[in-house]
Amino acid sequence: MQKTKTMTLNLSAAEMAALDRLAEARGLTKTALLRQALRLYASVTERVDRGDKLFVEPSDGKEKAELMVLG
Amino acid sequence: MRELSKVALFDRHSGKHVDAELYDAIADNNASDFENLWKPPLKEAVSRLQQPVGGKAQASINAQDAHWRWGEKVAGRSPLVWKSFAIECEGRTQGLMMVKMTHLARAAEQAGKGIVYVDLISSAPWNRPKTTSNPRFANVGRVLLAAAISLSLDEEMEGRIGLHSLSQSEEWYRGRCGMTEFDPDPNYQDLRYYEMTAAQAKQFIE
Repeated sequence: MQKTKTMTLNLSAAEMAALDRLAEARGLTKTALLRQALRLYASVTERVDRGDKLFVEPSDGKEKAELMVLG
Repeated sequence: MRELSKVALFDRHSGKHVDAELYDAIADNNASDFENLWKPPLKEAVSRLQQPVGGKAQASINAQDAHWRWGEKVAGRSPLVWKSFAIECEGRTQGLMMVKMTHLARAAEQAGKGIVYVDLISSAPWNRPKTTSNPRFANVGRVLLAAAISLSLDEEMEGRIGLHSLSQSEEWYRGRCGMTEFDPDPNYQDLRYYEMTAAQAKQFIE
C-alpha cells in the first residue's frame, strides 16, 4: 500500500452529516469515501481542463443537462 | 518513487519459480522496453500471418495489443485516477498494467459499488504461447490481476475488479480467472466486459 499522510479536516455539521450518510450508504469508511471523492474530482477536472464537457442524462430520457463544475 | 514488491513467475524453460519485481508505477525503462523489446517481435508475428491483418487474425497469435503505446498511455494521467504496474525479471519488463479508480461495478450483486477497472494489461511477447513457440514466463497476467485485486482491497473496494477483454483473452478471464462474463459492450468497441466480485477475487488470490 502507498505511504499515507494524515491531515485534520474541518467540516460543518451538515457536511459531517452528509459524509456520515454517504459513507454508510456506500459501505465505506469516511476516509475511503473522501479519497473516492477526490479521485472523482481529479477525473472531472482532467476532462474539463482539456475542453471536454460533462452532461447528466436524466433517467426519464429527457434532454441532457450540462454539469457545471466549479473552477 | 516506485514501490517494489517481490513476486514469483514460473520459468517454463527451467521448470522453476523465479523471483521477479512488481513495481507500482510504469517507468521510462518499462515504456522503452515495450517499444524496443516487445513491439518488434509482436510486429514480426503479425507480419508472418498468412491472412489479412485484423482483429481475429491477430487474436490467433495473441498480438491484438501490438499497436498499444504504453508511454503515451501513462504520460500526463492523474495519479489519483490512474495507477500503473510493471513486472520486471532478468532486467526486462515482463508485464504491464494500467488501472482506473473511478469505475462502478455492473454485476447485479455489486452494482454501483467502486471497482478497480483494468484498462490495459499485457505480458511480454516472449511469454505468450500463441506468439512464440518457446514461451518463457507464466503467471505474469495472474500476478498483475492479483495486484489489481490487492489495490481494490486497499481502497476498500473488497477486491472488485472489472475490464473489457480483447477477444484473444476472453477464455482466460472467463475460465482461468473465473470472472463473470457480460455481453459485448456497444459502448466499448463491442469488447466483452468481465467483472470479479469480492467472492471471486478472494478465491482468485487464495
